[in-house]
Amino acid sequence: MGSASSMLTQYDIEEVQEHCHNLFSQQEIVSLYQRFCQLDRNAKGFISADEFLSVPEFAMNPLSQRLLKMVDGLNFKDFVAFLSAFNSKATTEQKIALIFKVYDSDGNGKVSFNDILNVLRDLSGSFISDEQREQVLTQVLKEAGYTKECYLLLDDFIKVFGNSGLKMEVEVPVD
Amino acid sequence: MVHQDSFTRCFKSNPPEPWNWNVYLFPLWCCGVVVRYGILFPVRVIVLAIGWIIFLSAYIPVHVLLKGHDKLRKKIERYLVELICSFFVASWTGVVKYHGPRPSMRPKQVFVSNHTSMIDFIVLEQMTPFAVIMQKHPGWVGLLQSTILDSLGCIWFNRSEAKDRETVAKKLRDHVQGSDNNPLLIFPEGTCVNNHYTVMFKKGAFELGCTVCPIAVKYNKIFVDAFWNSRKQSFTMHLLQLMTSWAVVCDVWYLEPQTLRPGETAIEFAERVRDIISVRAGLKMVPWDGYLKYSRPSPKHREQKQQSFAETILRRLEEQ
Repeated sequence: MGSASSMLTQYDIEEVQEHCHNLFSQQEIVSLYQRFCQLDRNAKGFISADEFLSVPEFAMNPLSQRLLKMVDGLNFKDFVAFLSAFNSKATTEQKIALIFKVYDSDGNGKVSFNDILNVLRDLSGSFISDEQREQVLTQVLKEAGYTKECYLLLDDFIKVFGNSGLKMEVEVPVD
Repeated sequence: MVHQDSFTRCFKSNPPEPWNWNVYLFPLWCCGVVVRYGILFPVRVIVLAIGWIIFLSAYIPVHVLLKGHDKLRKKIERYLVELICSFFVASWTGVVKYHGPRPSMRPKQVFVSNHTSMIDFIVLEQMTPFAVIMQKHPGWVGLLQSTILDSLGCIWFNRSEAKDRETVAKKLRDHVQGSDNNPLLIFPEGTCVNNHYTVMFKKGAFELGCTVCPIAVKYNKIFVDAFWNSRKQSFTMHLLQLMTSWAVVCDVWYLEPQTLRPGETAIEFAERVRDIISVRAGLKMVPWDGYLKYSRPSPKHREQKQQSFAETILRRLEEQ
């Protein structure tokens, strides 16, 4: 405990804080660093996919493969920046931007009908048929004013999720 | 959950903050080390050695000579095992405070306790000759298991064998029915936890159709952290660590026996008892399966989540 935080200097902490738009307090960053070091078994400076999967809650998440693509190989600064979307002080736009990135698997800035379908497939698995998924999605899009051929951009996502009272927060425990 | 998962927290052993960092305290700490390793440790080793000599010189003859007189033999063996456990506890300068009524030997009852280390068994065994169900270990522990503990009626299982569960469940049922068997002690967590939390209890102990008597064990961390992190150290190292500490101080509470309530499932019963134990020992309850310590979660956990999500979608569909 004491030895881990001595490896982070005040400059380091401030640099990380700046990178995550000051969303985390210094104590939270120290806590996150301890956690990072705990997950990064051989002190490589980043957490590999396998090490992420050693967290049972993560491995059980149906979206784990998608999340893994986003966090695999991140260094500590980027790790904190990624987690900043879950901070209670983060804006709704920041949270929605993260959700958008999860849906936009090819990273081209646009979410197509098929992209959403793929995420739904990950989330619901074999417990519902493809036709049913398509049906629900077409219906939902129609209600929101979009068609099957539409490409959704980040702004569209913000419009749709903006008022839904999105609760995506986690607390960093400070020992 | 990436940044702090409650599961790993259960198995994290918080190293105590080093306090020997200045000019005045450091020599004091050094004296402490000298006393612990140079004086206490040899004395304890001698005490333990004497205990073993007494134990073996009494146990082996009794075990061999009284082969025919089972009842008397068992009685003496029980007493001897309690004796050697007391020697073990003395070898760590164990100060154990027992609260509550002493367990009585009756059929159709099972004892459950939270689990921090294998020494839980020794601490409890010192007072009552339990038969325990344990993981079969290799090395000298395994030897002790197959000889002495076997005569107490202990039951062994192997975590890695899938079919093992049914055979063990049957052995448990048989043991509990017998009136002459030692009371059965089960650690339903299935693994060692760091004495700050309890993980989910396995329901096996709660479906035997008998009264469950909860026992809560809490170690005082000021003296030594009794958590056996089996991934980090072997049992021998763990014992040596205990023998070079100042003391092992703990509280044991024997709590009120519980029975299955009408309409309660075995899992609900297990959770209710876990709550009783956790409240008494001041432990936080977490909803985790201890076996996840040893293996990755099986796909069925993920599938459960997928299933509940699918049901939400289907409901939406029906609303059209």
